[in-house]
Amino acid sequence: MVFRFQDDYDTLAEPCPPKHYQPHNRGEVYRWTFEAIDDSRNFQSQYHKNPKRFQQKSDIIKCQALGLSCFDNLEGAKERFFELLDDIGEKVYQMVGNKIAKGSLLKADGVCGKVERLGHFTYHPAKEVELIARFTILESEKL
Amino acid sequence: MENIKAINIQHLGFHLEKMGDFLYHEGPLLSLFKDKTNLNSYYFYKWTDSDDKYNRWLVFHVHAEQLRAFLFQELSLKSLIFKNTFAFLIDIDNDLNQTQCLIASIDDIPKSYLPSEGSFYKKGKYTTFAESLKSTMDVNTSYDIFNMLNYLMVELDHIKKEQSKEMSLITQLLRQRPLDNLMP
Repeated sequence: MVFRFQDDYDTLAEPCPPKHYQPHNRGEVYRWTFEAIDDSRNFQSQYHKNPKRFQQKSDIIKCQALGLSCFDNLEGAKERFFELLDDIGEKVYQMVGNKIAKGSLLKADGVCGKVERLGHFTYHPAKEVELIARFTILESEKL
Repeated sequence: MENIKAINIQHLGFHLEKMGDFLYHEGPLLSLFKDKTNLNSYYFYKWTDSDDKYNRWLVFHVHAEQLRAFLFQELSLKSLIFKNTFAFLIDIDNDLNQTQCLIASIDDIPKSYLPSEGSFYKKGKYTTFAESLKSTMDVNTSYDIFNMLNYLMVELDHIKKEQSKEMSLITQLLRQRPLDNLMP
């Protein structure tokens, strides 16, 4: 599979995405987004927001930052958001957005890590997948 | 970025060593540092604000006992901040250079930079590093109690021995000079 961030993966000595990441039919998935689904920040990896920040970091950390955070359930996505809101304060809206978008991920769309607490998992998108078209903002969900 | 009523002090003026991240989402949001010159002194770096060029971190002091109280849910993150009279705000640019270091009264920290009243430690919400640190502190506390009990036992034993010596001295004195002889 060729990935969206393949050029970045190729610069790393560590395998990225990690070998245990696999294609999955995740079905419905959720991701925090900004007001409009076509906001360029919505599906930008943390690494690409500021590559210099990762210059001194290990390849494992760089690879982790090239993944996108998603949730396999709506309640988990909301709970984790409110946890960060509690600790970080209102500026969390500025950092990760103020909406939740629902999408679907199929086997051909990339690879995913294991599902962790609250249904969080890291997703590495395939080159061809058009995420803006795949996700829809849930206007009724308030963050 | 918010405008802050603060004094620019260029740099912190003390050396901190990063211990680990407490809160992480696609990058660190709350990290713990220790003061190399003071064993019981810690500092939290809390991500607070950003714009196109800078990320701002709120840096505040935490005493070891307060850190323990936070990890055991006796204090919230917000109350840890308000244990201080002042805090630092550090701006870091996209090239990772520190461009500004401000010192501000706690009362002048914008509300939007502060955690909520419900910002208590919760297992799983924080990283495994935080959980490991909590376990270490738990062990250390047991160790401290053990040491204290041990100390008290030794002290008690010492007191008993002293009392025993005094009693035998009194007995000896009484044998030499019966009580009647001491009466006026």
